Amino acid sequence: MRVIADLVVNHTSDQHPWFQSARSSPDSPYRDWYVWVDEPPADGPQGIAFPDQETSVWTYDEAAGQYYLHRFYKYQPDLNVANPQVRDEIARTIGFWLQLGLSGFRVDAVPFLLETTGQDDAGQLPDPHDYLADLRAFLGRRCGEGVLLGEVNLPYPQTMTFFGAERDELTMCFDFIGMQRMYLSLARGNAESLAEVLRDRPEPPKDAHWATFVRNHDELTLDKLTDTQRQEVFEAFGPDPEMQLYGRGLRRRLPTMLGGDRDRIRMVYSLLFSLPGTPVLFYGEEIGMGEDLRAEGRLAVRTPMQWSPEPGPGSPPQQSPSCPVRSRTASTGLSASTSQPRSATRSRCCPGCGC
Amino acid sequence: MRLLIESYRACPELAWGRYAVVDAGNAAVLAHRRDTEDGTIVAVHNFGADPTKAALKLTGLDASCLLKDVLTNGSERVAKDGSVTPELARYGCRWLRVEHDHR
Repeated sequence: MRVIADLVVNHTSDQHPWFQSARSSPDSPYRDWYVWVDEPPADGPQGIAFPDQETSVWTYDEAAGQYYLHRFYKYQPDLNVANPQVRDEIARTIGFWLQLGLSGFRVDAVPFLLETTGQDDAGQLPDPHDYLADLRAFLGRRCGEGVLLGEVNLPYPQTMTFFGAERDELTMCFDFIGMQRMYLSLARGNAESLAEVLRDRPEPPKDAHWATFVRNHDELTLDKLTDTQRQEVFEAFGPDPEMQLYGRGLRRRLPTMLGGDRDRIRMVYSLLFSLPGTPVLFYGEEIGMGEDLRAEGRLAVRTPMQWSPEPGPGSPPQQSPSCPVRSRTASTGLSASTSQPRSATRSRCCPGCGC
Repeated sequence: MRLLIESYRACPELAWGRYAVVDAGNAAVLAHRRDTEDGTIVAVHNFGADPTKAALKLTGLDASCLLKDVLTNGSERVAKDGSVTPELARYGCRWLRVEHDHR
């Protein structure tokens, strides 16, 4: 078994000692570890990740007397990866975890991590792709089998650039486009919209791969579909406004979206494993876990793994009100799932009744 | 899920094979094939809620080939011209491995 971990270096917490130091004085050694401006620039980064919570990617900090950049929540100030000290610190972080035995990272928010638009000296800054290639080379030197699995939700031509042109960058990129088209095909009961995108999907460079997935820890984003297509998926799999998030996605897991229809759920996972790409599962998918819409926002799909049907954390609903988990499918936890003859895990142990 | 993972491991075509979408002659069905030097897997998936059939024409295959189910015990005969018409249950899915010399 090999283990990789999330590398979240686009931003830190606003409570992080670096940021606390940075905001305290323009002379702080950490001031330039974040992105500060006197006035939000017109040509700065566009697009707000959480439009229900934030109105700008810039927030004025009283202590600093300047605005700081935050691609995500205002309590997550973006690190300035154009600063060589920040780059070195990220490399040190990677080196530390590799030394503990990790075999790579899932790199969070890659395009946001690398962006330098809006910074005063953006024109003079080194190409961000060189930086990603440097990180990959560093990883390779420290761990020959190491991988970088990147979160890049962009149209294919742009995503392809993150595999690297002359030098290797990401080993794998999540296939967000194929994933979204799969849901459109599921909603329509018609394979064509998925087939169309699979015919056109570019081939990653040698030894690089698409990472295919059905669900992840965020909302099921449908942002790359047209408004009409997105509405079709909403109507099929999340008609209730409470199931929708940011106007672009569904805070649901697959089994509940498919109404617990085992044939249909099996078909989707069979597709995941047979399409070209490295299949990636989100915890809980092995046992057919559902979401808990009582939890706020994205937390609906981040409830504890249902290890057992007994009361306590990770148990099924009603039994642990302080830590609610819910599965609307027949599966009620891993231990039950492996012993029930018709459960999602068990039936797949038996070729005769598997999908 | 265990079956899928085990089957995936047993099918190097799925990890390394060339890949092509195959016309399924049926809008509800996605058919694709994965080819390596050593073998071919054809996968068919029914997105529809009704049982159906796909109508595939598989280049390079003929009546000497048999398509054997990887996930179950079934199989499909191939016609002289490479035509195959695999049946699919509602939301059915099949991985079919090409076996040669079944004349």
